[in-house]
Amino acid sequence: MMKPDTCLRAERVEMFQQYLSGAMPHQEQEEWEAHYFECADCLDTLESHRAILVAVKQLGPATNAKFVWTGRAKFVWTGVAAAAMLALGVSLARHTPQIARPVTSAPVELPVAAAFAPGADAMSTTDARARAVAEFARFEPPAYRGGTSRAVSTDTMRQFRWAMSAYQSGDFAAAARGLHPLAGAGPGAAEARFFLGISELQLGHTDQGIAELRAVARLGDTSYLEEANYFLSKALLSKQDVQEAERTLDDLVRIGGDREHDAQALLQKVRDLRAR
Amino acid sequence: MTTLSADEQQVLAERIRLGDRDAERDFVALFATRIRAAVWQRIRDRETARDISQDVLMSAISALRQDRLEHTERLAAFVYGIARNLANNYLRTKARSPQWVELEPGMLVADPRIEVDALERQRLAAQALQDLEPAERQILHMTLSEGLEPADIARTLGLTSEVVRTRKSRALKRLVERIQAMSRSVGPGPPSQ
Repeated sequence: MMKPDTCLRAERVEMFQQYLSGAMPHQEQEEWEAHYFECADCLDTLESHRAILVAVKQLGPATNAKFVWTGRAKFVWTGVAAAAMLALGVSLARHTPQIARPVTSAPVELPVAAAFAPGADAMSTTDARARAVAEFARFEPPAYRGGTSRAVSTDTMRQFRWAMSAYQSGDFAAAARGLHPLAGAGPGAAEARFFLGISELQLGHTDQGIAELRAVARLGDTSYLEEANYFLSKALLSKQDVQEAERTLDDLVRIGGDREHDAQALLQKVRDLRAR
Repeated sequence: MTTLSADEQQVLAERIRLGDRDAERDFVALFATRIRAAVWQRIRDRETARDISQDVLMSAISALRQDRLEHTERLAAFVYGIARNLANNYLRTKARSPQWVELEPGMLVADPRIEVDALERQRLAAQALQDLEPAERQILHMTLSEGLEPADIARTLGLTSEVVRTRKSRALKRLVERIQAMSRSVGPGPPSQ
């Protein structure tokens, strides 16, 4: 039933779908847009329809592949659909760069132990090792807890804050775009480059991410030196460059400090894996 | 019904003309999502739409600061006009290349809350979708994702077109109501800087 204080247009489902699909006639589109520029109800409803469209497309195959129409009244699971879902899951686990996953994605459990069990053949062992290394490479983007760049101009700080707001909201593309102009020399460069590097890694731009983190490390004794080296080792692992990752972790352990134990633990995991 | 009144539009325009920076922030909060929606509808490219939306906001604020809007009671129509024109200009020329839009001192036009709100709404939509009947989800998927007409869906599912249309419409209404209800219970996002 229509809510008494709601704009009448906000009840017209077909209109929103027609608009979002780009099928609305030109004149009608302009009238409708002029309307929602003034009407909060219609804007709210429009944005909800847009979110539904995105969600349906994102959930689509994963959600609906579970169901097969068997008549006029019900959907049931089938073995074929279940097998297809399983195959898709395995395929994604093998080919998706783990560090490029969005912050909110659910972790994928990799059957590392099972793959190294007695009886596993040589090919599956190599494959499982690569997957285990990829698993070690995964990380949650480090939280940004306020600026350390004090000696920068107001405009630069404003741009940095904007970029870091995007970073905090998980929009790594916007964060990278905002941080890139700030990653030159000068105060605050280490901080900007560090988060630029992390953002690039989150976007799946591994080489750019590695370049930025290396640049932070080259800046020397900044407050981001250890963090940069730690996430650099993760990025190297994601490229299966285990030797270089081990060297970076070794350096980090030698430096000591906040990341020493994390580095030591990761190094141990990598060496255990190599020893199997 | 929450329509922006002529008085509200006039007052907001006047505050900006008088140099009230809070009013400029209110202006951005009020129009940024609307502008992005209208520009996106034409451009269909996230980054370009974002850049053009920035330009629209800056052009509108600049015009208001300089008292170049005669009928301030029609502020929304004025802003929409700028959005439509800049988006159409872009489509006509295709000459624009992605660029960083300089921020004016004291003004932050790209409000990250827009992105956060959109993501939050998508999360709520995904959650609400899980509560639909499988058949309704299937119909929405076939309609919105695969772009099939009700008649095609009806043939595939062994239903009539009318049933498909009704179920789709009912499911969408329920989803929108659910999202809006959940959104109200979650409350607004964090304040901008």
